[in-house]
Amino acid sequence: MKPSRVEFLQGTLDMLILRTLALGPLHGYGVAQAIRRTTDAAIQVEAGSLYPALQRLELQGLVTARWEVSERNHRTRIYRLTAAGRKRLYAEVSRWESFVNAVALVLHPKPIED
Amino acid sequence: MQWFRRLLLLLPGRRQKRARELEEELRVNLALALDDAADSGIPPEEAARTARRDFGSFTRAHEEARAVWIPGWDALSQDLRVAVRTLLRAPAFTMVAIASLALGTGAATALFSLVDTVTLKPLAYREPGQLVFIREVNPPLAHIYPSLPVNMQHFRFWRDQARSVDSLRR
Repeated sequence: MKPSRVEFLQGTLDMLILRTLALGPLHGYGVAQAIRRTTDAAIQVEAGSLYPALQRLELQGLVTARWEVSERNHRTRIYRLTAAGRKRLYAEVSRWESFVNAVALVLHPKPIED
Repeated sequence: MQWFRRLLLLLPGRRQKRARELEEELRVNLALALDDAADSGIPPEEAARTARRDFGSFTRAHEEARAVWIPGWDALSQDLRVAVRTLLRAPAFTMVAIASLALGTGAATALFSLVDTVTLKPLAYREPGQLVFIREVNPPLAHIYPSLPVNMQHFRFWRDQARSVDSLRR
């Protein structure tokens, strides 16, 4: 059975990419694979979303990219998180967590005490 | 800083270089995915098909990633290119269109400069508001000539006797 694709909320993909790169430099395919592995294939990032997001993050100065030789002697662009990227990641994660908490409160309301 | 990076991508040479790099990057990353698939132990053809499907559309990725640089640029430059090509295919029409635009612009400019000097700009004298125009009225002739040019003798007399032109004004 193929797991159903998770639709992304706006900006979520950027956060996932930044989080993945926080663990170490990777090429595009590496980012996609890391996200796929850690989510047990629940989240599969297609090239049509991944590479635009990487270009956007690079333009914003949140990641840098350099042509380097990766495993199996392929020369490709390796992405690294910048200091600004790390700061953005912290901000995004705390924003995300307060959003999730708020949604949880709606889904499972605390009993109202009189 | 971000706008500066985007601005640099307006330079055609730079944009083409980045587009080529992007294509190469996509190609290499697809190759990496196919390598992984080949090592997975699944029959090679099926593995390759799955890898390609998971990777997604190469062309779309290339287009959408380029669209991030300057949103709408690809569509805009394509429209411009089509416009230029269409115009070149009908040179007579193009000449007429350009000529009428040029004439129209020129006429509008000429007319505006005329109106501007004649009515809008102050006259090129000191105190242009005090300038007056004098005619004489000769009552016996008024039924034929309501007003006449000023007689030189009269003008000299007025000029010498009048304290100021203001007192001549009604």
